[in-house]
Amino acid sequence: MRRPDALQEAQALERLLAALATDAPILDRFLADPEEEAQRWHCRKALARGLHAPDAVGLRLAFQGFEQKRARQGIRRRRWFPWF
Amino acid sequence: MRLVRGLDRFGLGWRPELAASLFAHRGALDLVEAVVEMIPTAQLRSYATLAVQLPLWLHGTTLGLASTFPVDEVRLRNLARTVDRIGPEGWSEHMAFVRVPGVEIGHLAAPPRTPETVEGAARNLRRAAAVVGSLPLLENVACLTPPLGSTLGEGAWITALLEASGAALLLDLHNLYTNAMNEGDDPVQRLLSFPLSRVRQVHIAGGRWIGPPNAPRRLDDHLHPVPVEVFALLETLAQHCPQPLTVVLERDGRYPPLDALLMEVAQAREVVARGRQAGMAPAS
Repeated sequence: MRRPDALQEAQALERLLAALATDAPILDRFLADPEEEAQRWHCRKALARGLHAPDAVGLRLAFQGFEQKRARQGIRRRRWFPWF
Repeated sequence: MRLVRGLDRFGLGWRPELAASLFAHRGALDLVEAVVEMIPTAQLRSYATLAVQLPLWLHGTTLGLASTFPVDEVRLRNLARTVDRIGPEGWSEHMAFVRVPGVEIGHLAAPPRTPETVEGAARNLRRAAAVVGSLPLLENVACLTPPLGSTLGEGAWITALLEASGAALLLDLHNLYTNAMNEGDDPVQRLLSFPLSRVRQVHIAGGRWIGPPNAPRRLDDHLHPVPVEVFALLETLAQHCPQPLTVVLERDGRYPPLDALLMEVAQAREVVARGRQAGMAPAS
């Protein structure tokens, strides 16, 4: 049976992934300590533990790719916060 | 296995840079596919005229349907108006998210492959079908690294999403090849893990290798010719899929002469025909 807060957790994870694709300091913090950064984004502990040992090369290349796409489209990076 | 022969179709992505020469050579194509976001409002009537002369599919890239967040209603209504005014044969979108509240990612991002994103996508697709009037074909997306937090494999996630939504699959073979390479998987095994009975359209395209030499990643950039590995996957697909397939070549820059693109389309025809033949051969 699905946990009642599953949707909120899923949305928290999506917000974290969006941040990793758009915010270099957040990506740096995540790669330095994935579990702590994931918990900062309200991904519950078990989920955060599943994010250990992330693929740093892939995440950085993905960030660069998204950054280039945003630059071409004129989308400015927006500072945002875990509690947004 | 029942094989439907002669119903496969082959086309090319309609791009402004190619439009004049594509129109002149439209007899070589069974259809074209236009990216919705590249159609200026002032040209809607031209595209409606094109849709009368050649089967036209509209391909969206910015709805972000595969998300636990609700799809943007304004974008949906704009798309519905465009579909209504152009009258395409159908429309397609991606199994991707492109934004969360307050943040535009800027491109197609692979969501976590979880039951929650399946449910979110199904909700968004019900809404899209209600506003636009039909379900889109759904395309698998490429990623440089597997989506964090996933609990399902790509094939299982796509199968669940299509079952939950009732949508059919637009199978991008270069995206599939890219993900297999970037996740250390065998491309053919990954192909066979997909719900092949739901494939209606196929994209073929090219890409390149990027990143450090000791950890290269495959990038789907649509700027290079279709690699032999993707043609091999197309042949395998044709062998395993009895239903008619519509194959579209995507190219988004560094355009060669149109003849070169038409040769790739012709190669796709040959490859599919070969796969059909292999599919008919009795098992030895």
